[in-house]
Amino acid sequence: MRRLKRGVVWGFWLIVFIAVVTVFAIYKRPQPPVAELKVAREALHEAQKANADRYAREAYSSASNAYDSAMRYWAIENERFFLFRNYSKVDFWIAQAIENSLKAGELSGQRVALSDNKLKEGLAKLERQANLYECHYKHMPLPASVIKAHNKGVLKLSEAKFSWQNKRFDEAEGHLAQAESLLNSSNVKAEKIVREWFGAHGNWQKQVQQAIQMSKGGKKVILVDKLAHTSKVYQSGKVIRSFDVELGMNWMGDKQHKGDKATPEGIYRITQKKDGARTKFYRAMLLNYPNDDDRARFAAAKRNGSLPVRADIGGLIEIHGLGGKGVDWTDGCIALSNDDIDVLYRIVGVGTPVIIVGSVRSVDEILR
Amino acid sequence: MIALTAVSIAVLFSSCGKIPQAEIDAANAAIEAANTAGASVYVAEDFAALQDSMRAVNENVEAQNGKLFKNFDAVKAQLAVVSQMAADTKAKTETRKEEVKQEVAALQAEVATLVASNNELIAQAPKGKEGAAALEAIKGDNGLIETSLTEVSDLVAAENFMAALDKAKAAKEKGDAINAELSEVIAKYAKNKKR
Repeated sequence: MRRLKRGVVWGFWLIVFIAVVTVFAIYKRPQPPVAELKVAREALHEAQKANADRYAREAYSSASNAYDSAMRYWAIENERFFLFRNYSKVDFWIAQAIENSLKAGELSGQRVALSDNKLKEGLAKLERQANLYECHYKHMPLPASVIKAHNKGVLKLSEAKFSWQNKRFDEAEGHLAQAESLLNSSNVKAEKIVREWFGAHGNWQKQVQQAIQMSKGGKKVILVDKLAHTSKVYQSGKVIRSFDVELGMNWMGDKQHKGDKATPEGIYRITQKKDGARTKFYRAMLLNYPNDDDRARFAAAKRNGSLPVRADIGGLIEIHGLGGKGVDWTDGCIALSNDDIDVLYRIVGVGTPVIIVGSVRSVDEILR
Repeated sequence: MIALTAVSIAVLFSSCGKIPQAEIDAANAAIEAANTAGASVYVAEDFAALQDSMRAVNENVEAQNGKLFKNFDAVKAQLAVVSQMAADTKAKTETRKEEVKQEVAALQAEVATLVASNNELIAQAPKGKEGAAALEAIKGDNGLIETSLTEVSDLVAAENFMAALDKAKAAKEKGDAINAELSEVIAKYAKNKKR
């Protein structure tokens, strides 16, 4: 009986001990890092809200993978007996997820700000470039490839602007790069053509001086500035009248042959005045194109093969009316509005020198 | 009595303690459907919130999985919310997408009208050499807009409406500029002709 009683007492204490140990084990069992995982998830969400999945793809992907790894290791630990669970790997990946999420968010913010700034500056720069073209080259008879590149560039620039406004920076950057390439190419080619043409500027300057000099004795001299599209009448070294003019469709450069639609450059004089039925251009003043210089140059060009043997030098270059259309439309003549030709027709006569130059101003003044 | 209690407990645990895999799969499928519809593009913030909610549910699933006495009732309720959120996000995506699509279509129509109007202006423009001189470059410009319009159609066909929208807006801007330029040239010509 005493042994039984002792056994019961021992049994009781054993149960109590087991119960205490069990309660202690349950109480001290490893706890999953629920709160930390929540922090990691929120950090990931913040990174996503900062568009890190788009603008800091690698960092965001690392953060997302780290979070997924933490979840996977948590699931693995859940498979174990609760007393033997170990969440150290989960903790590690949570820390990685938080760190990478913060990095991704920060990186994305920086990249967005940088891209925004870069685009803002790039758009402004290219708009200036497009405006430069519009200002200097738009009305020049440039090759179709240059004009096309410019127009395509303007379209791409516009696309870049709209993508930027919609905060789609990566696409905007792509459009901007294309616009830059097109606009740069058109501007560089246009400038090269203009500078090549201005190779004759030294000669033009001498001719301008000659025109002023010739007018000093009271004689009227007409000076046509092709680039400025003006025709000035000089007398006694001073401009007495100035008119806007329209030129040949292909006015940039000297006239080479018949049909090139270029307005010649050089020193000419009025050989004939026509009005009424004698001209279809309201009123006209015929110039002595081709002059001796033109003929010599034309012959040389034929000799060196730059012009075909059967090429014709052309003629019938006039200063005439029906201008004021706002475009260069003649076959090489100089067109004035009818009101202006009335004035010019009245004040100049046969024999009046007409000096036609590419530009009075230098190329650097123009492209400044 | 004991047997009945045991069965009841078994039923109770089997109903509450099992991972609601079907609901999880349904929620994931709904999220994927929203993503396929373009939620990440058209309603990016909503889609991010949706993904975050699903992650929170997955955390709760694992939290229950780690317990001796699992209870997924709350998880099931959350999954129902997420599935509904996904459906709402998809609907919102489609609405937004449709809005963008309509905006693109309206712009396409406007640009097509502009191109036609520009072509009409070119046809009305002065004939002969003066007309050719004035309009040759503009004709080329108008051709570029037409090409751009074709590219917009290709983007629409590929359901890339955002890119199509940018392109259509750019085409419209250029089309308007050409229209203004053409009108100016023609007006100038007409004014001169009257003299």
